[in-house]
Amino acid sequence: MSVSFKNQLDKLSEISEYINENTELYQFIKQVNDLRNSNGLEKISAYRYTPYAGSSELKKLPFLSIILRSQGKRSLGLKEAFLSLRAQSCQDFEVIVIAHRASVEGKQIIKSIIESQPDSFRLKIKYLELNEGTRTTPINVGCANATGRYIAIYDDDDLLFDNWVEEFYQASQKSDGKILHAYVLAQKWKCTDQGFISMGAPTSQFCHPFDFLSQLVVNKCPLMGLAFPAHLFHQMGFWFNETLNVTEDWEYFMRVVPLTGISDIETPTSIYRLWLNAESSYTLHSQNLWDNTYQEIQTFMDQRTLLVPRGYTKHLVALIQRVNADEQKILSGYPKLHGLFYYGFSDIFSDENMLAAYNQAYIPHFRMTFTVPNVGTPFSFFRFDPCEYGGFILSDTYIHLVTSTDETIDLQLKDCKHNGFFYEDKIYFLHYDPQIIFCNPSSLHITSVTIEGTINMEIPEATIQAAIKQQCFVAKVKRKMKNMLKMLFHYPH
Amino acid sequence: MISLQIQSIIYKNNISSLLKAVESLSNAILYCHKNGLDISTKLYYGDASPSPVLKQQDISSIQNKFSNLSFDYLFWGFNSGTAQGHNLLGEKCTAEYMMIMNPDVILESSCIYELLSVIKEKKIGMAEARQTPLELSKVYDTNTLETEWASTACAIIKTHIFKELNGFDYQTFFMYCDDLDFSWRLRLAGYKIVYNPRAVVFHAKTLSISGSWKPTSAEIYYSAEAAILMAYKYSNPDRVEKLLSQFDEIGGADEQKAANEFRKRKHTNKLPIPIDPEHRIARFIGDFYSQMRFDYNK
Repeated sequence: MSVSFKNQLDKLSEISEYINENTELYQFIKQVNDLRNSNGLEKISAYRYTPYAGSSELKKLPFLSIILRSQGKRSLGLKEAFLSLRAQSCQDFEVIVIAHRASVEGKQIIKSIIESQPDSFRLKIKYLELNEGTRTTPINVGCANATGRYIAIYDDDDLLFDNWVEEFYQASQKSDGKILHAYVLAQKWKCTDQGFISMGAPTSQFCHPFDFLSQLVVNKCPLMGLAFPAHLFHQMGFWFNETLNVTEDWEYFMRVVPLTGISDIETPTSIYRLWLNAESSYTLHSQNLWDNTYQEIQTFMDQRTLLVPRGYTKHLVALIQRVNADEQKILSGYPKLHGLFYYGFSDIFSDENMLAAYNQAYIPHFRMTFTVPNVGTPFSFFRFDPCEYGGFILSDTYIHLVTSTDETIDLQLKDCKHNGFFYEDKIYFLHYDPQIIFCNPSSLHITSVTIEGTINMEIPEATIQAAIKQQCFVAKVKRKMKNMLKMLFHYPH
Repeated sequence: MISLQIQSIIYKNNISSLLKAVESLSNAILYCHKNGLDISTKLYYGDASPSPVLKQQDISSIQNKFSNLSFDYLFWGFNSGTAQGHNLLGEKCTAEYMMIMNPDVILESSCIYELLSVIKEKKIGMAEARQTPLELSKVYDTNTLETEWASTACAIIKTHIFKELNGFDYQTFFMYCDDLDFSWRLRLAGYKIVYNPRAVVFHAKTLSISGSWKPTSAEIYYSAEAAILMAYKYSNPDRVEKLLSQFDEIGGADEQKAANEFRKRKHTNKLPIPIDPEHRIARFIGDFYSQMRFDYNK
């Protein structure tokens, strides 16, 4: 135990009689102790993670233990994963390869790829076979067998730059004991019969400093961008939750990061491959499982005392102020933006094919995303109802359709039909139940639709009068045409 | 038995990175033997540095440690550039195949095996490896593997074709586009180039936080110079003028220097003789020399 922490505990014990179970401090300390040697839910037997093998052939303990799970199904990926590790500028690591629930053939493939590595690299590899457990179990088994000061997890289908280990090492020198977080680029890839092919430039959606509040909502830190201090597992007994098949990394990360803190490495050190046509956790598991697990993790987090890191109070204050301001705007007349999205094969829609979403942007702006179900035949008609009542102007509106081949089709208001008045690039919705209808211009299935725009409540009086005049004019013209048609078809009757 | 000469031009390289590359070569040769490919290999390093990178003990250490490679080291005492350097190493090559590679790329174990597996057909003159972690984004036929040009970060060429084409055009291209020019001349001569995504080499590159390329000043200069020379050599005067005025008006210091160098060569009659007047092979598509799947800088 570090001297300074012991001193702090000694000081705290002076007032221990006043820290009873009703206090948040008591509950937090109890929570830390309860979570030790558990998977976050229940107590576990540490024997499950007893090292399988003896020490590796390395002469000295490494800085980094790298856990690599494989089933031997992606031999090209595994070869490339090993190559990325061989190329590291810092070679102070060991690799724990776990063949998890691999078939006989899969195990043979993994072993033959290990055998084909140069001697100097092969000596760093510890190979284990694990035939039980969920996707998360090999992580825990790997951690139990790790001898490094830090542990990183790297799957056999992602890519590393040659500075991945080096950056973790440099960060650990300054922030020993903290979780290390490096930036990760994302890139689309495809499998062909001949091998792998990149399908887009790397993008930087995972290249941001760690933000605790955003992380409560969604995971923005891919696992291979993280390195965990090994004592989290070995001494403190914090293990991954093996009941989870997806988002297990997010759950673990949010459970331990309040204890350790985090150190950002603001340099991309790896590439997260987004497979367009290959098996991944997104294809292996249903949307229901993802949704249910998400809710489960939100519930876990909600049941615990949350230790918010230093520097976040002002962000929370700003967030609450913005929510209050939005509520004021709603009170002062802004519509409640609770969008409804309809999909179908014609421009007649039913509530059976309808989705609801909340606004993801700040009023007067809105942004809503809807995931379109796949029923085999692509839907060709869509309708968006931004809110229940009219009396507003809609502008700067864009509709982004994403197809099943991951292409984006962008539409604007001029591509849509609606029940408002189109005037100077804006739509004026004066009546109840505003609606915007648009079509799928491709023959492909649309997987998601994002609609964004701006609402303005201040409609100039002159515009209202002009709109009413236009409506009257249009109604007048329609009446005249109807009468003419009657005459044409009924004459001389 | 297949004979292969592997050659790299070094220039002030770090010894430990060279050793890593040699280790990967030795391992790749071992893989060939274990998988039934009977191959004899010679590795040549041509050193264009101002002073020798490798000392005698380094050379002996490589020869002893990697005995399945016959290793030779030549120090030239002048900066040949990659094009001339490879010509110097290639002109006396007696092997059936030549492998041109950057001195610091690291081969995946099966790389040489995979490259040799796709080059056998008579019409194929050159086979290129896939670079990782950043793959070149040029289009290739995913069925036939045919591509319009090959990077010599790691590629195998049939020696007789290399000699037929008189190697690289070192008098025009110092460093960049020597491989592109060679590829187009190879295709003008009626041969094909293939790209094997299963043959993988690690080629260290860095990207910025936004995911875009970060070229050095030398890279900007030499690629600008090569761009104008490619346009000139491949009979595209409009493109030459467009590049010159672009570099003059909005280019940085490196691009303006490249434009001036071109004018100097023109003035002193040191430009190549234009070829491919009908544009049978040469393609200039935006800033690129073939159709690209995507642009790293967009």
